[in-house]
Amino acid sequence: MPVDHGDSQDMDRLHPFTLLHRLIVSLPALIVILMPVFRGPDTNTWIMVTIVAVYGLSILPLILLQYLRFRYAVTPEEIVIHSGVFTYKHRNIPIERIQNIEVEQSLIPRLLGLAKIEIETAGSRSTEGVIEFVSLERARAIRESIRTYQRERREASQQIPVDENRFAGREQADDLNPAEGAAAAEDSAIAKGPPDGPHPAEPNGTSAHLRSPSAEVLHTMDLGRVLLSGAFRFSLLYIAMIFTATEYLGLEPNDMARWITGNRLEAFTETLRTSPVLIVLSTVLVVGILAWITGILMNLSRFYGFRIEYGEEKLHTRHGLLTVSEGTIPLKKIQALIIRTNPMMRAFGWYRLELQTMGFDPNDRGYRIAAPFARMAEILKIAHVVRPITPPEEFRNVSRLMIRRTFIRYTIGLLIVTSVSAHFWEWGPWLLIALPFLYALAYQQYLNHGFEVKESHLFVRRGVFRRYTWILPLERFQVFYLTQTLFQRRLGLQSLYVDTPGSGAMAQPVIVDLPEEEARHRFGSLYKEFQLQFASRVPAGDDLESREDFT
Amino acid sequence: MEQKKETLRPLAPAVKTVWRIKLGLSWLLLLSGTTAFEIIAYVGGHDSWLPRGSTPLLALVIGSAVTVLLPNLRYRFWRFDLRPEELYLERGIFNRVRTIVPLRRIQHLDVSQDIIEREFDLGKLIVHTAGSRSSEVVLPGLLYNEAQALRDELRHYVLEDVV
Repeated sequence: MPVDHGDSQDMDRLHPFTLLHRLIVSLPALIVILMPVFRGPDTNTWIMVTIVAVYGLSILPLILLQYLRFRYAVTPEEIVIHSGVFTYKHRNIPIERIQNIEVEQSLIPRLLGLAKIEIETAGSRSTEGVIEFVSLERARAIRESIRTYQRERREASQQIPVDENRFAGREQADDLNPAEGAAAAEDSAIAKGPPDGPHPAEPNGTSAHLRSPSAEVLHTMDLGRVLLSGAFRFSLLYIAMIFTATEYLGLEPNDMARWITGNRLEAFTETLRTSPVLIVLSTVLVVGILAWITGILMNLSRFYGFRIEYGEEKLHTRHGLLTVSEGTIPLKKIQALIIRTNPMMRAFGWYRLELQTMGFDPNDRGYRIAAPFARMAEILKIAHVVRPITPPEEFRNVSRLMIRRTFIRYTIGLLIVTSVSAHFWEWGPWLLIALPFLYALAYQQYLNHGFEVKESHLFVRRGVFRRYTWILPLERFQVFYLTQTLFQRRLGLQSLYVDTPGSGAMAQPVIVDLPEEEARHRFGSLYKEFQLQFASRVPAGDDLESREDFT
Repeated sequence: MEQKKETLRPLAPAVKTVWRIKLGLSWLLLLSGTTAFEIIAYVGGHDSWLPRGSTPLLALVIGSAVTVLLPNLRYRFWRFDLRPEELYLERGIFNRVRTIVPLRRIQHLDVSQDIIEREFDLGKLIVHTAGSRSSEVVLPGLLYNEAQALRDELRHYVLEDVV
């Protein structure tokens, strides 16, 4: 179903069912507004009717206006979106700037046969354009036609002679020279057709596509695996949310329990009342089981049918039970690989692979899950597609003084907590019992921390409860840091950090507490190797003359 | 990489005065805050476990000491160098940081000058990279002309698609 816009400027409307969807989605808000009326002692019908009327009169025209105002067009040059009820917005997204196109179907749109198109560009980390909703076939057709336009443009731009190939240290780094940079951006931006459908072959195989154009399934998760992965996820957050919701709805946990079990558990609850220890234990048990079950349900809804494929220099993921999300990750945009685990998962040999990317999907803060729950061998298989590397068997340790520094930091934290709690709680000082455990934790931090430089990648491993192993390609490095705090200076230690695009705020691949000498050596040698990988682009002549007037 | 101290350049000395003014202003703010608090406490007749007037005095003593000494120290440890392929920075009194910004990683450049810096004809060079922690590397205390010259020179290296 080709979408042929050509040069015609008449723009398209959204699918009419969008109206229906907006209406359905607006209903929960109405219920929340009416909540006090429902819960109030004397329900006044008139108040309810007035609220509904005001709501209807304000929301319904808004939905309709929104629908009428929204127009879009896909031309070979750009995507044009006109929107806005009170402020008119005209947005033009040039085709060559588009990085990624996601077609998403959540539950209600799926029932209505609708799909949402999200257009992401390199310039901003947020989604640049959203078209919600068109029919699924239409969404896929749009994706397909953008892809075609981009291919045409790329072919056009390849007419320009490329003379800077000598700078490209390796295939993955070739998006760094300007002539090809534009081509690379387009190349990586081409949206793919439905990942589950048959893959159209490239019409004329360009040199950029060394690998087979047909999609290869790298990894899938069966139902058992998804359920198992949930069992390792222990989330108290959703429990808290459920309790908050029941509280708000005025449901008493006691009443609910009686309603579910009848009075069959009367004897049991009587026993519980006799001992506070039993109450604490059973509470912990119940919360634990609930957290466990919600963990399983969350993972079931998120990762059901997880599948990752590789084709045309891109990874394609697809997963979800109620909301099926499809995503495309161009290999060129991958900045780092992260293998995560926790002590529990590690004990059973399970890991998770995340890809740190730059430029798209703000929801994942630049992290895309390539394998939620997999064996190391499976992870390495996916990782191999991105980077032909094998993690080192052994990591290099940092200085043992790290244990001391970490322990001192924990102790200071504990002392603060203890002194504060001692004011309010007579047992407060007993918190100091935790000191030996903190020492053990500091020791574990040391054991789990390590790094290695191998095959022009930096490997950094860190963390006990959340253990991260970063695989950082040297040629992706941005800025190099060598830091030393006052306390590190006294112990002769330094920390080394290399910045990569898109890394989040939560955990960062810092190599902490290296002996000064080694830190300096690593700092220099990492930068040297970076320079080799990211071959020089500095024009030789220009460089000297500008240096003179500067000094 | 060899660190030869003599090749590293210091900032323009006038930046000490700029820092001093800025620090002085913020301590002045704290001083007036504590003074106001003391006055209110005095008028309200509240008891205090500290002797009367001690907080503004403390703010005054620490504030003037910090204002006098800190910029000197900060200045002493700030060094930078523009090398053929990288911008190298060293800074920090307590927390010493060395930074290498490869020139080819620069995404865009700003020169900024606030109202105090303008009085001393100083400016800051702000280097943006695609990195996350260091999406901004700031080089303060340059003569305004020099900051602009530096920016114009670095501009050669700015690429279209760095990521």
